[in-house]
Amino acid sequence: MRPARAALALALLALTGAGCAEAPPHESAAIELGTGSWRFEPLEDGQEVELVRGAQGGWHMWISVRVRGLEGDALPLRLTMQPADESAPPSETEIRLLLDPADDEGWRKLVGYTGIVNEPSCLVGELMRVRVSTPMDDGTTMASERDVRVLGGAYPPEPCSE
Amino acid sequence: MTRLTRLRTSALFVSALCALAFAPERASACGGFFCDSSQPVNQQAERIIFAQEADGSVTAVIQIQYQGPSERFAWMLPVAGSPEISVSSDAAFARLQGASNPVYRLNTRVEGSCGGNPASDRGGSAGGADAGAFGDDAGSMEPPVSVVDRGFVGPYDYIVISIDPEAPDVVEVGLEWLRDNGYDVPTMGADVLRPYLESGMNLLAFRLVKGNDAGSIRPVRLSFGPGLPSIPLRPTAIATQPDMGILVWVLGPSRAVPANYRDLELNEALINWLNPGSTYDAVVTRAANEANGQGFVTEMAGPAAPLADVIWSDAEATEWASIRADDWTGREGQLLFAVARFAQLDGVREVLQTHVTPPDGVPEDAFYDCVSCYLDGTEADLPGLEPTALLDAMQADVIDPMAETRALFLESPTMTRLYTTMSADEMTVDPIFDFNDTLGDYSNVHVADRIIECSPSIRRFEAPWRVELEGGETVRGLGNTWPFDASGEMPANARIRRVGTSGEGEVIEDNTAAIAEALTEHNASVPGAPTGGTAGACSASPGSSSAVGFGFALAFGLGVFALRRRRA
Repeated sequence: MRPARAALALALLALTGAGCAEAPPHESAAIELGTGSWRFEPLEDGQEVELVRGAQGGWHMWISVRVRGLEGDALPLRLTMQPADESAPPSETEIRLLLDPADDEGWRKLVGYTGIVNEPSCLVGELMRVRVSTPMDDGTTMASERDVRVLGGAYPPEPCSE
Repeated sequence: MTRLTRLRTSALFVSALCALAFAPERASACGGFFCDSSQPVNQQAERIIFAQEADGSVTAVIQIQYQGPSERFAWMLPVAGSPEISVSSDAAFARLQGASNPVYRLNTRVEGSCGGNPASDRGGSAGGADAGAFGDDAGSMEPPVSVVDRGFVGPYDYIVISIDPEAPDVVEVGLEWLRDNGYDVPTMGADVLRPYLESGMNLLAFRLVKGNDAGSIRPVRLSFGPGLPSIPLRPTAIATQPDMGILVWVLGPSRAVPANYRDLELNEALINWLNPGSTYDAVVTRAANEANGQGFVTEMAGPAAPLADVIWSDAEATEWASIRADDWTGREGQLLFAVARFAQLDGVREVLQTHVTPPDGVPEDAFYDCVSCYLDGTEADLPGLEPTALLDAMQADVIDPMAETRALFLESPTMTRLYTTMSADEMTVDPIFDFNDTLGDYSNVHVADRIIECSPSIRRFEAPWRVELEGGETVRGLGNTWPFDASGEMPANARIRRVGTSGEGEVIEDNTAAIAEALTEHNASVPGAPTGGTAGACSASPGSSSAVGFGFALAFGLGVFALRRRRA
């Protein structure tokens, strides 16, 4: 493990106590979950997020992520989506995408990723737990997680029959 | 609602238009978004028309280019539910592309009077179903594969199957079923299907009906439910050639934008205005690379209706209606001459093959290549040829696909043409298109002025010149050489933006100052016209204009591109 990343990971652990960071101070490593198709929009717990339907079928949420203080142009990210009540198993996606150049605040962004929503009908109006994480060199994970309320959007799925 | 049905209707992947094709050692089946790199399959282009109608439903017309044995052609795409399926026309794509290609027009004038041959000063210009259920376990209550739809369109036999996402190996179950039912699909690369199928999407597969060769392959037209148009690129990364061109026309209520891709504004100083077709693709590729490989250039945006007549004109429609209304009984030969008027359209040969028998001794290929060549006069009575049946087939297989594509353009207010090139390592996000209610039209015609700075002491072709671009930049050069190319240091993007459904978007990279600086530095290095000539002899030649429209070598092909692109 490279010393710089190890030190970073340790610092992060010290900050979070659990290997999980949520927008730590400016100079520290951070990962933040957001939404938005074309620009990063921060997410808060309980925030309403619309489903988007692709014409060929399927629904997704726009997922955006921003990171800073981490090395690499294409961080390995794991996106996990699951009903907040854990009534269905989580769906997990590995993402390794090039990030935008750092902005004035040092954030590097991944904007407009399609977070696929499995069986969305019964999720409309419910809370969905969305988590994005990236592994650190020391084996810990840095993550950002939100419980968002799912809205049907312009082309909502069929009403839930259950 | 049964679980299976629910899964289908909630099928995932906004990128569901996942056109997959397989071409490994046992089949050179290709035609969608990936092919095996070891096969001599020439997947040349990816061209798609998307049309979003007022109710939000989307029609996609997808061009399939394939060269290989017809019996090995298979083309698959995961879909939600069962879209309406029909065929379209390559001719429509060709006409549309020709009418919307970028044009770089250089208006040239001469200052002063050059030495040498006076003639060279004049007019010089820049270079110018039967639904059923099947499964391995016939005794199970719910077979893992069930047929949702099947049928024939044009040269294709298609089938939509639903595979139980909880089957032990959903991909293998689906592909094995297809193989057992005569679809030549290989295993290699099939894992890219897994996430689609595990999430409950159906699998649509095409094959050629026996008797059709690869030349019969035509675009397919798929009508989906409401949503946003998207291109499923992720599976394409399995095997595609570097810098594959992707050309998309999006029809909808307003100008389309790449919702989750970057919007690229090209640095026009980097385009060789003296021979734009020679460098355009390289500039686009470089621009896309500068945007992490995920950006589109908007090449044209404006009213869609004018392009409708390009695709299928009123004159053609009128002519066809006249032919259709006539009574051809007893003069079938004349009918064939009339039909030959439409020979450049897709499907004519297949219609003739079905309805007209070659005379004794005439080889089939030669006959169907030129039916009228073998007719004994236009008044020929051809026993066995049923005019009404021939006309009906022409209507359904040849004329309607053109008219329906035309209708897409008439029914949509705005057309946006977008282009990019991508390599495998960049195909990690499926581009989705949305509509922006703020952005205006964008012309595909770019115009600049070139002023040749002549002097009696030099000949015209040696004279320095300056090109004044639309954006106000000036590029100076000498002779017939454009001073920049895509391999240079100057950025290929003037600006990179992210654009949403309203507003101008956010500039995430603005290179205009750097470009201006580079141009200033370069221009200072180009000598001006020698002084001391006879200024009084100065005669400006009539401005000449050369418009160079060009198509794109949208080579689509083989090979997994494993190298990350060079990034700016």
